[in-house]
Amino acid sequence: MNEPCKQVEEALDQAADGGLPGDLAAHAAACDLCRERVAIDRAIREGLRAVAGPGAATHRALAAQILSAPAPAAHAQPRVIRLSWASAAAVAAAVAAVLIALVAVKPQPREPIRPTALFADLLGPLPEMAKSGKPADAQETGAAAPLASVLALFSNGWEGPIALGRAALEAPLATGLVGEPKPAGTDSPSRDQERSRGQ
Amino acid sequence: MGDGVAWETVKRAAGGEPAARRELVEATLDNVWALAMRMTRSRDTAGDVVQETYARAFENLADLEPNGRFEGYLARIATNLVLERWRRQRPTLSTADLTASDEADEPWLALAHEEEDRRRLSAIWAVVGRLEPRVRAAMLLHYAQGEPYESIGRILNVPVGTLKTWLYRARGEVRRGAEALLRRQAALGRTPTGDAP
Repeated sequence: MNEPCKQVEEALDQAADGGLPGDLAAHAAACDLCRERVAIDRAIREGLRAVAGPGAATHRALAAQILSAPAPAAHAQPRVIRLSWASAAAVAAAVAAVLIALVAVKPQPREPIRPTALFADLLGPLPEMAKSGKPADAQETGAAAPLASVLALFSNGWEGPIALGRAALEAPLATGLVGEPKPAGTDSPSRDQERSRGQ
Repeated sequence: MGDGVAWETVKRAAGGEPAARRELVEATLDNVWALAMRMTRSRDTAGDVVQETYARAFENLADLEPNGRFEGYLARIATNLVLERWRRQRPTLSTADLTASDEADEPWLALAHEEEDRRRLSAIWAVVGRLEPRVRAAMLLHYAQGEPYESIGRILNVPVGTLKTWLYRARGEVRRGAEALLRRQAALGRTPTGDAP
């Protein structure tokens, strides 16, 4: 591509209306390549406009189809929810009820769980024993009496069991929780004795 | 497009008045058709686009702000419908498509009296079909439809400066592409539509 041809191309790129300066227009008229280039540029600017209309029949058919569609005016209104005063009052009452319910079920501070309460929940009919902290009468509680004693230990939280444990460590024989020495002969037979019996 | 539809007519149509709707359709149908036809290059597809354009336009008529031209509103809907179609289809035409247009009925070619003009236009349309959809729409709205820059900017939601850059580049690309295509076809002794001369 020689220099004037390049200039024509650049001028066509720049020109809003496709016009060329005089000297380049003269060159384009004499140059096959540039003449074709200018013709294509003009075809882009002007030729693309050419379009056949729909024709009377197509126009009528299209218009009839478009206008036969249901009028959308009814559902084209702005989609704003409008409430009557009664509906608004009902909504307000419902909102208030929900707020009150939320306040009512607000979680309260929880008391620490006492061990006695745990045992009472697990074992059922022993609330009085747990509360009093006293051993229940064996006549009234029957088989539950040992449990009542255990529960009584926990009536003041863990203090009872801790005190009991401490006492056991300090005076093991006095608590009865550690076995006392048995009188001679009451113990289980020794291996030697069993061996001699077997013989 | 003409001087425009009166907003009073639009308002009456929005209220559901059949006569006003008919007036709107009659005043704008040929322009919407021309736009759809230039963009789709198919009478069947153009017909579908036109119908859908009015369906959408009437759906939102009540919410329409009375500024700008009603024709611009229709052009925006039609263009977006065509863009949706283009995006669903393949992004660009292959080289093979340049010699065998799939949009067979090309009525604009019949409008060109000279064989040379038909040849050029066919090549140009083939290259336009390869442009990125929004640039293609911009080019057709500007060169084919004659829409002003501001209107095209609103339709495609691009600043006018960007739009001018698109058009500048697209015109050069189409011109060079059409030149190359015509040279290649001349060398092969074929027309742009694939027929032997």
